[in-house]
Amino acid sequence: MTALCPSCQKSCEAGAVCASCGALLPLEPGASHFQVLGLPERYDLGDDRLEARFKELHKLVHPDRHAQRAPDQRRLALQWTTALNDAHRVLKHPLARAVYLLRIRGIDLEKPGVQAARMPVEFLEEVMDQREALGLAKARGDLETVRQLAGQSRERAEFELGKLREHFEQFELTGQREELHRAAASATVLKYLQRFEEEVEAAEMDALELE
Amino acid sequence: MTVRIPVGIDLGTTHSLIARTAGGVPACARVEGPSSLLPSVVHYGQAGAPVVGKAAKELAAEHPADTIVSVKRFMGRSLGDLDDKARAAYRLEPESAVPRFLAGGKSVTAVEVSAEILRALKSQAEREWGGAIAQAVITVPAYFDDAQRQATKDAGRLAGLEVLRIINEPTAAALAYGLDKKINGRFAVYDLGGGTFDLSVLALEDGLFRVLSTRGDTALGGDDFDRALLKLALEKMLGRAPDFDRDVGPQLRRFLYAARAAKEALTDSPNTQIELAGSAVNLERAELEQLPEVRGLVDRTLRIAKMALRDAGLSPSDLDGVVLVGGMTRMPLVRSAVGALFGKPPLADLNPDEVVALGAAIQADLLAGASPREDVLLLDVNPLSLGLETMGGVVEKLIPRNSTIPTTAAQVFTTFKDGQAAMDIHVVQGERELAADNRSLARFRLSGIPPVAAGMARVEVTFAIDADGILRVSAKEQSTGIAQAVEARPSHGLSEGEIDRMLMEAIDHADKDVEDRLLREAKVRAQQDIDETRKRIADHGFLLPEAERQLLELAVLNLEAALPESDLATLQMHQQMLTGLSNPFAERLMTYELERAVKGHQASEFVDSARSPVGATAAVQQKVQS
Repeated sequence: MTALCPSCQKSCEAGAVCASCGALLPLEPGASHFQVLGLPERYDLGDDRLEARFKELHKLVHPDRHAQRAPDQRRLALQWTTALNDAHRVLKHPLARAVYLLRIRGIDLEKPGVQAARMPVEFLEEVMDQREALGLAKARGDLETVRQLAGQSRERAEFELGKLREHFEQFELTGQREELHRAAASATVLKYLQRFEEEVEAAEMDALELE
Repeated sequence: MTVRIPVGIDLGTTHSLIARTAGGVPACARVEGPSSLLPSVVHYGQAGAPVVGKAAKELAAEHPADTIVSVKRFMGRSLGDLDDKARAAYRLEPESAVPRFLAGGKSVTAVEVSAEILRALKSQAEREWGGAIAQAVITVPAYFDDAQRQATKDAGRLAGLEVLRIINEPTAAALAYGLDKKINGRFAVYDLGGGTFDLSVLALEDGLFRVLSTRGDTALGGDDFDRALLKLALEKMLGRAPDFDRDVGPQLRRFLYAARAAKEALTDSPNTQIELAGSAVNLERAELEQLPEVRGLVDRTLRIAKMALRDAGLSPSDLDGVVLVGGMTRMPLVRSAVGALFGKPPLADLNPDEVVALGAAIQADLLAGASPREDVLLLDVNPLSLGLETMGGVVEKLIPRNSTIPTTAAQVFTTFKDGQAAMDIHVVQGERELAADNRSLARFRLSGIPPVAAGMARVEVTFAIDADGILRVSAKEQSTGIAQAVEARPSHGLSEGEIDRMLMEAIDHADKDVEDRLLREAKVRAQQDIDETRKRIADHGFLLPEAERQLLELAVLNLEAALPESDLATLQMHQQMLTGLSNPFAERLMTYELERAVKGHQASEFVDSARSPVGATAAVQQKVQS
């Protein structure tokens, strides 16, 4: 895809910087996190590739690189950098990336009511039990049990993450939306587990403060 | 034609520094005699401009309420945030949400006090470098919250500086190390200063300095070690646990200075003496290191370090090195504990006091474009999560901690009552689940929401953190487009109007203030020199040949005669003459004392006879090993 560079009026590849004059190009409105990073819209990005693109682009667009440029270029630098950091923050995180990818594929897990509908009852019961155990351990100041619960939760999350990855892979291979819905169910389970892990962390912090 | 110099400033709890780069090499200005460390102390007298630095520190013991020390602990804090210890140390205006010190008949905020320190640094550096300073990068502890960063930026503006950027101290230190020592890989920066502790994990590769995680405690620092040491000394002296109110009272600040000096002496020597209220106590390094308080403080830094590593997804052995920053990292116990945790000796080749200012100077140079370097780029993170209070007081995090900045995040909230016309938005910072347990940054109300059924109105709240780590929040009702934006200026900060007013006043008085201050500082120092020299002559004049003694006495008289003059140059000339003459005397005295000590005199007797003249500084002498 080519476009006209607003700075030098020459045609150049779409991207962050004009190849002819080195000026920053405007950020396409509504660009997805994948587009900002110049990556394909798929679940498995390869960690190295994401990190490499993140670093390459920062060296091109960061405001410190454009501190002496005209105000409109400085504004673009800030826009690009912010978009880049936001995209990286979402895409580097396995769960956040899944939720985002599902959203741009038409399944919004943030919508009220969507999450609960996808939860198997056995899992909800399991979560309730775990939370109760955590509550007790917290009240007793029993850090050992808290850490044990955290370990169990992490193991469970690893397992679910494997399933999530598989469903996305299958979808990307076959284009069957049923796979996306399965991925959404896994993502919902992972959201609960993440919430639990955050609580465990808060409990550990509390214990640390008390020590 | 004046040269314009971009500078880096380390505005520290106990002392502050200013640096610039010349020919690509950063260096600190001498701001306090030959030293690059300006004590972060400001004294407000009844008349004239405030006194800053060593001269102010000397006045601190006698005028504790009029002399503000460790002002950094008050930055961005409300009256309610302060503990009793901090409150008891000063006269504070009772009705003001922003703490206001009543000092020297004035009422000043922490921002204004910090601005005095910045002005003093600026004028001293301009004098040394012979150029005008207008742009600065100022450092803050990585773990400073939004309000503390904003307050620091305000202080810079108030001091007449264009603040190019607020950067984190450990990041600045890494920049100085990375460029100077050409280190590459993953590093931890262990930064233990006078009042704060941070641990940051960074990845340094091909000129990209990227913070992976940071953790810290803005109320853990050298001051806490001083207090522990003082407690130990008093306990040994009194033979019982000391009661600070009864046994110390108004002497506290003097005693704490003595404790700090003793702590520093114990860095190089296994034992030392501390003198408190006329009696001396022996202290051993081992005793200090075994104190439960001291162990507790060091352990806490290690726990924070482990948490930062966990945030970065690394274990200690994954790191290529650990860099020490802050004067407290000279303490042998700290070094060995850090070395043990990371399994490798820490790096301390750059002066731990100066390294932050040097790094800030490099960043200032990069931003001001005097010598653009294409090969260096700094990517920092926000240290604490930012979120909103939702139903039931629970926090919804919008931007998690350790997100690379600048960054934005948005979230849609719906109304929970039919016809709800307004929504209260409460912005909080921190990791806790309940809003009440986190730091409250701002509250505002979005009104004019259309009267629809519960859950139908959709309000999008957007957070944007800029490169200084400072937050802006905006809210927008999606169907009507009603929008509201606020800079998260906390209630305990200063309003734009207040800053502008202070700025105008400061500009009006700037030139006169600088002159006034320099003169006042010079006078205070001259009086100290006079008193000290007289005392020395009285005690040990017999060590001097008659002619030398007479010359010295003459120099004292000359300086004393110059004191009432309001001419700085004359005063400085006489002071230099006195210093020149008293240096050989000091050497003689030192030799004499060393000989006496080696001959087996009691250490306490020796300290007693050399007690400092006015008692403004408690004497700490190192015992000589025989």
